[in-house]
Amino acid sequence: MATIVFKCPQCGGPFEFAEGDGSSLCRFCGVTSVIVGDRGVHRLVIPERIDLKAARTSLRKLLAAQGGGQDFAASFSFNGGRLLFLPFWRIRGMAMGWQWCEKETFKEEIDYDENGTRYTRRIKGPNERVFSLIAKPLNFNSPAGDYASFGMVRVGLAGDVLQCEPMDYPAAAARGSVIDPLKGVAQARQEALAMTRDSADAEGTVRRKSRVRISSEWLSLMYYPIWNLHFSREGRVYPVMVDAVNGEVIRCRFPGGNQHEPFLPLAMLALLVLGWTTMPAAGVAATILVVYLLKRRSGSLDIAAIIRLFAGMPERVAGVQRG
Amino acid sequence: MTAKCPQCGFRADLLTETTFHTCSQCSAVFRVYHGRSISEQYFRHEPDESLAWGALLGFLDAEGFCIPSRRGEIAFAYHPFWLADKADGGTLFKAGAPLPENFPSPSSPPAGDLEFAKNDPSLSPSVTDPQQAFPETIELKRLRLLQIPLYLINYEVAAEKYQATVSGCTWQIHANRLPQEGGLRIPWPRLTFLAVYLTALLTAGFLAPNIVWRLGMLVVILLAAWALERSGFGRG
Amino acid sequence: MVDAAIKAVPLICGRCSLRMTARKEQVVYQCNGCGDAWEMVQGQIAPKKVFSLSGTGDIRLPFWSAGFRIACQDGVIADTVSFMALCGSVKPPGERAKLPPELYVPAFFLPPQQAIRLGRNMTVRFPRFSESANSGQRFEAVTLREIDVPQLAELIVLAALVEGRRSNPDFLESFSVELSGLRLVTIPFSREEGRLYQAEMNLEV
Repeated sequence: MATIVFKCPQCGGPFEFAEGDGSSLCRFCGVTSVIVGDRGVHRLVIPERIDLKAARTSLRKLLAAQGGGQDFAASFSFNGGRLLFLPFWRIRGMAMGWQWCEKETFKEEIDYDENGTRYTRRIKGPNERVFSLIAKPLNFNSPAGDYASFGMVRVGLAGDVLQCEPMDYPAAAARGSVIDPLKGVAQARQEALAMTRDSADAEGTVRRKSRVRISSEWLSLMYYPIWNLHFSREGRVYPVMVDAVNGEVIRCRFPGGNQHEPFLPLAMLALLVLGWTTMPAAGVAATILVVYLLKRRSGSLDIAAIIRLFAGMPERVAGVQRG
Repeated sequence: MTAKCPQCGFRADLLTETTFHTCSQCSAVFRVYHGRSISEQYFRHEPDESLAWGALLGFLDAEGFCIPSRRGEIAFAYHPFWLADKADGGTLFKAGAPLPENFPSPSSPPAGDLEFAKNDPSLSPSVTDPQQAFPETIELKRLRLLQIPLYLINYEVAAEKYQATVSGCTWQIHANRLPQEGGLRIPWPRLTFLAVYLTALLTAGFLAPNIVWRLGMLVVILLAAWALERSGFGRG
Repeated sequence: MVDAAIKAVPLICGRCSLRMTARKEQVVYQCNGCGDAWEMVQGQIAPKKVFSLSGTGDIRLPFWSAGFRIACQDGVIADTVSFMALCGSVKPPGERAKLPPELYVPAFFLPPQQAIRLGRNMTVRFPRFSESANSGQRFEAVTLREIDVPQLAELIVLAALVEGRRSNPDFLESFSVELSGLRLVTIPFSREEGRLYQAEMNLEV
């Protein structure tokens, strides 16, 4: 449950309340205040904890660790970055309603075959119709837009344990771009309820009807900060997304370098000619050695890889990818 | 007829039958279709063709596609898209005007900072009627017109023409067809180089009087070929 | 774009200007001084009318009370006698026979299943209370918002129906409850052996 730090409207002192609370008591002036969202929506922001420099360093460390050292990391130049605040819908409350389902029932009967061997028969019984009331706590997050290109699909634990602040749009817009929510809360509610219905699905259900709604809803639009950086090499631009709270690289796509081995195929041909022009046994030994070297190089005797090697085509080394 | 400004809520009398209206209070531009006022918003974007081209190159490079041999024409423009909220909570997203042939449209609205459109000449004025865009009999709760900055890029790979749409909001690439790696075609200079090298090896191998001579000659040929290849000879 | 993100409104009684205290989940606030009840309406403190129902007991529990009608595949059930038939009740309906049935939804904190059970028990007992406007009597904290009452009301009415109805999917799909004259009432309960007891209805919480 996120803690929201606010300013007491009575004394101006720091005033805390937990996500879902309707009111809170100021420790300084002792006045209880009711927390009201804009048209029922509590707009919150998780402040960024790392700056642009730290985000850049985080990416460089990843490139150096996974891409083959400092040279690989240094081959990409940094072109700049901007802070983005991505909105997520957070719905807390109770999913309440009813569910009716028709389930298959089975019973097991013991029987004996013609040889007198005992066996168990599973016999289908009449379908069972069950009505039940649903009252389940709901805690649901959903991105308020399509963030697949940012590599983000949900705010997980971070949104639950971190300290948030009420969203100050001018202040946030001065630090970065505040992304507008394009998915409405109605759609987020539908998703939340669909999740409740899915989790209620039981084995053997043949027909189900339900009507579930959200009750005691505490709705918030939480803005999560990420750094959108641009790195480039040879005129090619590679976007990178870095979590601005914990510095983790969320998404990046960096190609590995091209590997070109001119000596190996030439040496293999020379070895084969040396063996087969000396004596058949030496030829066989040279062939076995060449096959061993090829297999050791690429893990298998892939004809395409062998042709590429002899054709002198450069091979792509695995790059660094996240998200 | 009166219409309500979607940005400030000011209710204005519409004196003309045109689709476009500018709010006299906040100067936001909105459109009126079938008596319903629709907000027009755009994603703020500073056009940068070289960045869009770089993003396309970076995408092709990182995803293992061929790198273009020639950059073609790059056209930047705001393109209109309808975003409709359905009564059942879902959303519909459709192009408000068709993009040129071979340029795919984004399938979902991009993430970005939206602003209400003012009288900006760079925004695309012509859009399809929303009833034409959403012919299905779906009850729509809210309709918005989003102007999305898009780069329409033409490029060539091995004399073949390709097209890609690059979103100015997220630099996401949309393409119907991408240049795949060129298979296993060995270039002629390389084939010739290998043939000459192999012939030289076989000739030396068969003509050498003994193993010492053979070994020496093959090593010399190998080193010579290696030196040639390092200098770029016979790579195609 | 600029929107007010969150507003904190200090709980100060609009009548006597005393500070009010509230539990985190409370939605109606009562002044310790004058006893007036207040609620938040569009970000501002506004008076809330609370009705006190008569009875014996020293602890007042808040309930949302309303008349209701049921729409279902059999048509509209809008009077007490028809609703009693739907519930399988054999109690004589008395003078309320042709009036809309009344529903009680617990407005104080109770786990949902218990709230449904208590609401059902009160609704099917068709209680008769005389009432007066709240004269500053203390009542337990109200935690159920007015906006959430119809959902809970539907479940309470469903729980009151005979089993045969609830196992019929066509009936369930067509079923809806429409409330009229929703108001906040307090009902006195007395504490007996660690439980709350309502003598007029012979009901325990």
